Amino acid sequence: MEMHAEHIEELAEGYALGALEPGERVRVEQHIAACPPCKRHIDSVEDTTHMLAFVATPVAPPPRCKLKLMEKVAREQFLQTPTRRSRTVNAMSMWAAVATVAFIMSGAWSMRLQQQLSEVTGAQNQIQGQLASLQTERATMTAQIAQLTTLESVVVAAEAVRSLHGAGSAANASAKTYMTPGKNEAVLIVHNLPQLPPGKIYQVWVARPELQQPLTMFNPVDTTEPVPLQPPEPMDSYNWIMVTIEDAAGAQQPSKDTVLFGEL
Amino acid sequence: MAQVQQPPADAIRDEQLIEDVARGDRHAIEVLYDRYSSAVFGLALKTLRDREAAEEAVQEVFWRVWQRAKSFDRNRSFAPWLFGIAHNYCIDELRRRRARPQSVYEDDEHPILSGIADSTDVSEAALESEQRRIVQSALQQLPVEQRQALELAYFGGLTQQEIAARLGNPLGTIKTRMRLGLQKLRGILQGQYVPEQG
Ligand SMILES: [Zn+2]
Repeated sequence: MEMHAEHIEELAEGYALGALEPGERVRVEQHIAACPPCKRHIDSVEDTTHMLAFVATPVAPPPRCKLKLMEKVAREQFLQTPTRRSRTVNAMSMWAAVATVAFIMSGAWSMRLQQQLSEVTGAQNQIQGQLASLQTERATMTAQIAQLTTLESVVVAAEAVRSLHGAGSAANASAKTYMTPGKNEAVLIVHNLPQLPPGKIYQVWVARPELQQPLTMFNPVDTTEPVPLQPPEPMDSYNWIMVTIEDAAGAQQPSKDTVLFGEL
Repeated sequence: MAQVQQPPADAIRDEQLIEDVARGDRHAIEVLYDRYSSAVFGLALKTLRDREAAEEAVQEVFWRVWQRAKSFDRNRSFAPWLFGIAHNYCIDELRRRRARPQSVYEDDEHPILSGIADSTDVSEAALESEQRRIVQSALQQLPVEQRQALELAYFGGLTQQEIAARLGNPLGTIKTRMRLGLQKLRGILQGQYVPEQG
């Protein structure tokens, strides 16, 4: 192609408006990939062109659009970002309100949040003065629904449940792992773990004879606490799962302070 | 500009928000959604003329914003970038629908020329309302045939050749109208305060 034979200024407006014939569009794209001055010119014409969007009357989309979007965003983040502290901590705080696994499974909480969300959204249109606080509340709820839905889907889809037993300083604690063979995604739901002293954190491990794999860390805020797990290999490739008490930064080797232990 | 409400002084700039989105900040994409979803939905409704399809468009456009935030060019403004994504999606979707044999999207159903400043019912809460007011007043200063050519392309999804055939004008005339229209629009906008056009 004689890409540099001539510049493409005369096609800039048509390109920015999306009004070129397919062949012309390809010509522009090939040209600006190799010609910075023309790229800058096109960028500038595009910036003006897209001001035309303001001709259309703005219309508020229904709340379900935002719900679906935020759920998709949260789900992607959950799946793409393994064992990030901030995510775990976020997931923790929301679960303070969730009392039992049955409640999670029923979806009742999710429905209630959805209902509350739509009420809040409706109120927002009427009460301009409270806009800021309502928006914050709505954001929190949307995020909660999205995270809940993600964890819930893992639990609901689980094909196997494994029990963990309390030990050491947490003899009254128990836990269950909801997992599916072949999948790198599981949820650990713990009950009755004691509150930790400052500077300490619970850490989840999966292990087999030659390997002890550190997973996520958490600090429970309620008697029942779900912990998302994303091991590097499928859950059923490990023999054991356990929870230890570690210094707040976490550890690469488990301490002797095991509080929950179970076989996978 | 004195009579127009200004955005709150503590509002976070769009360009800061999209950088936050690029770092994976879900709250930032939510703020941008709250700020611009009505504009995008309005654009999609005007282009696709189908509520369900427009809802799909809003979700997909902001999903693309979330996914492409890292490629946002810091030297440019956010709003045109967002509308570029929205416009591309809507035009592709419109053409895809027109290509379907039983499509209800016959060309003749698409209005040749939308009314001047579509409506007076402009969202007050939106931070973008100031930009909207400026652009609409600028567009009213364009000769009607320039504006017609721009809107047929932008909202009607017609190519320059299709517009020329539709209006019975030579192709060169249509291209000239588009060029002059955009140049004039740019000139007017550059002479005025537009918050997101540094
Ligand atoms: Zn060039």
